[in-house]
Amino acid sequence: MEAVVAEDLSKIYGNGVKALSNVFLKVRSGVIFSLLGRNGAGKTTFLRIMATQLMPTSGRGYVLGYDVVSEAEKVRELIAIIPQEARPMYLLTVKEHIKYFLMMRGFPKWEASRKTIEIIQELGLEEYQDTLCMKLSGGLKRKVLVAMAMATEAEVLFLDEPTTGLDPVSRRQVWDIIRKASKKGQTVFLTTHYMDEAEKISDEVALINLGKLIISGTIEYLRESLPYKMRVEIPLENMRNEDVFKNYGKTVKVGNKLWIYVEDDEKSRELYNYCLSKNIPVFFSKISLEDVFIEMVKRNEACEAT
Amino acid sequence: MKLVKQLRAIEALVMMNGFKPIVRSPLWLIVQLSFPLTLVFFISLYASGEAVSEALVGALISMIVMSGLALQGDVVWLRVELKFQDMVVASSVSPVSYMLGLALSELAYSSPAIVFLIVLITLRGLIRLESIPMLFFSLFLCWVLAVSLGFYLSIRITDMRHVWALNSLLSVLISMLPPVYYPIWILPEWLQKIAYAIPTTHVALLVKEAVEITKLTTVERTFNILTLLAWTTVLLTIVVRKSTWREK
Repeated sequence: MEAVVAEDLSKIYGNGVKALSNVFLKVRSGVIFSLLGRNGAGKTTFLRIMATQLMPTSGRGYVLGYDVVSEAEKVRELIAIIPQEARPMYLLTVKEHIKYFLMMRGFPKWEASRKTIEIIQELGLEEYQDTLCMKLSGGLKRKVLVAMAMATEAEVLFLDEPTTGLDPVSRRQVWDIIRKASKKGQTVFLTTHYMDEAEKISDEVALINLGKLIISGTIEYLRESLPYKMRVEIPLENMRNEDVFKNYGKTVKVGNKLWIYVEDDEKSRELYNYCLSKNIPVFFSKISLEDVFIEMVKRNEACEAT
Repeated sequence: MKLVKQLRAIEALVMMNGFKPIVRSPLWLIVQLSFPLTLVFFISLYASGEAVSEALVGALISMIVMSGLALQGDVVWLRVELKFQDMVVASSVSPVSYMLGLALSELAYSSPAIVFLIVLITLRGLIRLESIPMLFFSLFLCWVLAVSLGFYLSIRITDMRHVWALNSLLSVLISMLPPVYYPIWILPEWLQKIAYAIPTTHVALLVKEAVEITKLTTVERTFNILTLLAWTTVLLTIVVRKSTWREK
């Protein structure tokens, strides 16, 4: 069954800004799904519509088969959301925050207490359970919020840029929590502009730009959508004649490096042999999600411009 | 079952936004009481007897009005700064439960001060058994009115700084300037007419009658009750209509 479905979904704000344009999307139950896009691409708008916080201008949205407009009350019983830049209440301890949030969602006091203890243990938050949220680091605050959403046992979790502003260690901690939620069978729908994050934790992703969905599928599928197989990096300081590399594929200057996108194994081998013969240091890597994203966004923007 | 869930939500909101923060920051209880009591103190320096009783009743009404208006701050804080309202919208908590939970949590801050003022008024021999129903009816309507006003004002505010300014201004306009701390007959006739346009004037008249500081005819009493009911109904309707639980 699909956890999230969008059918021809569009959103135009009162000031005329077109935030979403005819989006079609399907997200399977139980997966970690990332919606990728630049700032202002429409990620949060999409998520807020699906989380019944914002009305679409046209089109339909469904969560676990329920219409987000006409059956919003049903949808709300099945979801939990952590908005972008959300913060816990400062004068509550971690334990109180989770417990009262669960009570607010209708759990009896005893069950809320039990679930709070469980989630605290599961996420290794015992050390901080009686600490006031105002005294927690940014990473831990975020962790508390994600734990709170996870403890609700909502079937679909919407997380809007859950790791923005976090240090690498805290980011990994949040990723672990997200993976745990997914292992429990919860569908996690997150938005991010961190490509590495999407690549590391998602089962499926979708790219959105200027309110339009460009592509969606598994990361492997997205990689295969590009005509390139490998990315080759060469330091520019070792370069006498850049043009020679154009014979091997598409070249892009990135900082003090030249990136060459190579189409097949034979070209890669030829390039490798050439660099070896000229004593040029060379680094080969698989096409990353970032490569796909940049290429797709460029194509999309070129298409929009024409 | 649905009602039980909503009651749990209200309880949780009162704990989250009321009792727990009060325990951790009890200074707020004193702050709540300091402003009205300061006015009572100044009045008692220059006057005695009935004027002090009037001032105590005024302080009580002021406390309730400020409790309702303070809601503005909490609603905006939870919506804009913590994004808590977004999390609530995406749950089965109803807008009414959310409003009621927050309003009661705000009352938790004021309740020690309200009890203290009621005790002071009682010690002055003003509250009798038969005055209790009208006293609580008027104060309840005053609370609903202030809460509605607080919610209504919070709807379009997107910056906490606006809340601070608006709260202070409204507190003065609604609970300091009108004849709440002092008798209405002191005012010249044209100012009395303006005062009648402010709902707290009617609350003050009804409460003062209940504690026998002032006397009202049946017509005057009915007029005050109906005006207060009309104000409350209008504000509540506006809140329900204009509140945006789900953004358009």
